[in-house]
Amino acid sequence: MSTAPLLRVEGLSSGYGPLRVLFGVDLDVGAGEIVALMGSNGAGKTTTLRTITGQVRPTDGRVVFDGVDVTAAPAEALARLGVALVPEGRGMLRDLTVEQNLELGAYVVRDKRAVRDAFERTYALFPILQERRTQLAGRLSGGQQQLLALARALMSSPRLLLVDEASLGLSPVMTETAFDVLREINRSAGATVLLIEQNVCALDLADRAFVLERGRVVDTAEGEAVRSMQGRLRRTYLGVAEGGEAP
Amino acid sequence: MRPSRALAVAAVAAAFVGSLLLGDVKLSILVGVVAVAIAALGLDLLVARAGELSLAHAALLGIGAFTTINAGDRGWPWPLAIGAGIAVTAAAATIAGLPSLRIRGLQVAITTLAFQVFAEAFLFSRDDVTAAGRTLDRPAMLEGDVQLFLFSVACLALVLLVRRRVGVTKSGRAFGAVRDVEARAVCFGIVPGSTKLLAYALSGAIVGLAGGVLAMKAGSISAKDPFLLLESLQLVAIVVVGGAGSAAGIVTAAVLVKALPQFYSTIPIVDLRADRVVPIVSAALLVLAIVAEPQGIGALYRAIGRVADRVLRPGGARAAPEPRPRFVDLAAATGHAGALRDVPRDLRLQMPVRALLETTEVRVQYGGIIAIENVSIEVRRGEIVGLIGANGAGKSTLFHAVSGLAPATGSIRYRGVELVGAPPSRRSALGVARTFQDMGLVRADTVRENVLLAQTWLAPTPAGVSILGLGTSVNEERELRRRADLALELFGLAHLADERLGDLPYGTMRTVEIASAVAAGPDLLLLDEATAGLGPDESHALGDRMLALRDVLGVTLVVIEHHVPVISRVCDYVYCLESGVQIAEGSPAHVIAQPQVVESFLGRTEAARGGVDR
Repeated sequence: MSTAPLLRVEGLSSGYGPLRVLFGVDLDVGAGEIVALMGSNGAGKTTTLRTITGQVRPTDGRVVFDGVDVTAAPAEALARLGVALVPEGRGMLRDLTVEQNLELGAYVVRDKRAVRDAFERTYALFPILQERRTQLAGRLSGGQQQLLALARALMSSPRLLLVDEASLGLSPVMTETAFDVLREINRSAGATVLLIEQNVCALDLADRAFVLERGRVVDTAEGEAVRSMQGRLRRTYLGVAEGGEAP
Repeated sequence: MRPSRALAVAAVAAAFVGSLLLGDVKLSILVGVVAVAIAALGLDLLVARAGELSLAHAALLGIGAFTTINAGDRGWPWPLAIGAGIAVTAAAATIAGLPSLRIRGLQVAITTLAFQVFAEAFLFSRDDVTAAGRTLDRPAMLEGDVQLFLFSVACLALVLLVRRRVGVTKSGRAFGAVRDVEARAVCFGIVPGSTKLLAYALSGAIVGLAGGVLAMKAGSISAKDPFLLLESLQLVAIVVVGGAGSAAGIVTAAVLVKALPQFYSTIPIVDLRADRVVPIVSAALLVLAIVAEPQGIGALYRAIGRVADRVLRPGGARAAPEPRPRFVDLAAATGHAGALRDVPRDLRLQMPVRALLETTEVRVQYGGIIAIENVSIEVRRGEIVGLIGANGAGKSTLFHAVSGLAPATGSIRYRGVELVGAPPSRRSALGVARTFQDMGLVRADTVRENVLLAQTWLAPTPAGVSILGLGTSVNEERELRRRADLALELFGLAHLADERLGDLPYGTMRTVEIASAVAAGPDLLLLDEATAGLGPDESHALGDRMLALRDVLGVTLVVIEHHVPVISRVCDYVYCLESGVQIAEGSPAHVIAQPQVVESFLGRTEAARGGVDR
């Protein structure tokens, strides 16, 4: 990580109208890394993501992507630079088919062959989506929609993938699949991933992690320390130990 | 009083006094403007509250005005004549709204356009309808321009009062639910069709009153120009420029669009014919205004209010409450919440039974896809039953079948009552409540409003009556609010009661939905992915609440859940679905140990972790 980070967030503050949510958040994501941004509900994780992608206007601070200042740049400008977002709550177009949704994901890709390759790659990663490709997205189960959201973001072969709660509503085995997919595209395609999670299992695949609390970064870890962060998080930041109440 | 509020009161007072100083000619113009503002407020009720767009409101305005004059011409006293205008217009609006029972959105708007065209061609072309040559005798007390203006302002105030009442009663909540989550609103006991028609009728009544004001102003109306399609479009423009939902914005927009051109056309500007310039300038301003502030003048006012609050009372800015559920002493809170179970229930639904819910060979088919087949489960009273399985296994579909949102065959017996074929709105009265995976609540409303919404079935007074605050509706509303407070307290959400639901983090929204379902006083509660979006601590706390619901309140729960520690801790019995069929059932430990369950649901990591309480 000696080179300049792919994404750098400096002193980012923002909020909604009179409500202030973020208070000077600093974080960075190096090229080729998987970075997890952890925190409980209301800590400001989603707001951080929305501010990075220009959906919420920052009151202070900077967002730099690959050396370019993209503070408050609109989401479509980021998309063209190679940033893809998997929003919380899926954001599917329910009246389009699975395939049409995926096509939208490749909207910024001009090269027809690249789109075809992307379809092949995506269907190899998510066989269930190939099976259901002519079905309306609204007819998919919630978990399948979550996979579709992830697959859609991958269609543009993004350089940076921002994922808001990939595990939301997924069965344990599906969560594992989703995390495996992220690991796989990170390894094989070299995509950089910023994961927003409360599921501490996300730390299993993270190279680095930041913990957000009440709009501030309160903890960071790198390498092996990320693993030990799991226990720490369970105890402190996320409260009661998961499943740890009965000895 | 907050500075913003004081400012608003001062502005309204200044506008009122300023109008009175304008002189008779302009005051008389203003009466017509107020009538248009009232009509726009009526349209806005439909647009902002119910999410329906009407292009027929100018025709309705005409129907109101002509009816009032016709009634007056027959010698009816003026209040009765106006009442007739209101009633006839409300009925006409209801007819205009009938297509909304079958179709939605833009298509409905087009059918209202057809209504407008019909009214122009077949009603306003008939002399017996348009009241040509007929007159309404104004009473002496409304003879002068000032008196007429005061009368029109009083009517405006009345309409504002009605809008306010809609906002705080079950009618407004039902409108919002039908607008945002129509298919799910039935689970609260809301009937979408009659709710929509009520919105049309109410909107029509307000427009009818606006027509009455016009009739009182003119005495007789020969021109039908003010009631043509162009005016309908202008009413829509006024709502858009003013900002849907903002009364102050809409009244301002009505003045800008209607009064200013008329004022200026009477004032010659050097060398330029004002009546030529004004339309061009105002059209350009209209486009600019909408681009600059899509939320309309109302948003501008709110922004000014915020600045005023910040500048004039710097310390008074509202601190954001912690947007998560608070820790609650469950023993105490559940003790109080026992009252939530106290709901009117048929005697036969109070009998002790062993199996609360039994499904036999339930099958649901969507088009060519069989979502579930041969699902036979039993839920005993006082149990927490877990429903697990891969994504797409059909768990939510089973919930849809039980709550009546999916076409099911087979048998679903609740306390021995067959549910297959029963309308979904009846099931809340039987004692079944549910949550949705992606939320069935109204994000634009506050937390409390949503908890009240979920209890709609407990308030049998018709929504229209509740607006007037008549009869039992006041007590009903008070009781609903008391229950809402109890449910919010139980779930640690009391401090968020007045926050807009959509502003809260996802996990908190989900908790609000569960609190809403509990407030409806169910015997059987279906939770779809109860802990999705919750952190480990919140999941644990929710587990505690599920146990308290079962043990203290005696609620039976069926829980779709992916979180194995929660399943292991709270469930008495678990069913596992895979591709629409049951593959395992039994105690949590037993089911989770089944190889097929590990394969399709649990996965190797979670299985290695033991999944269970370790």
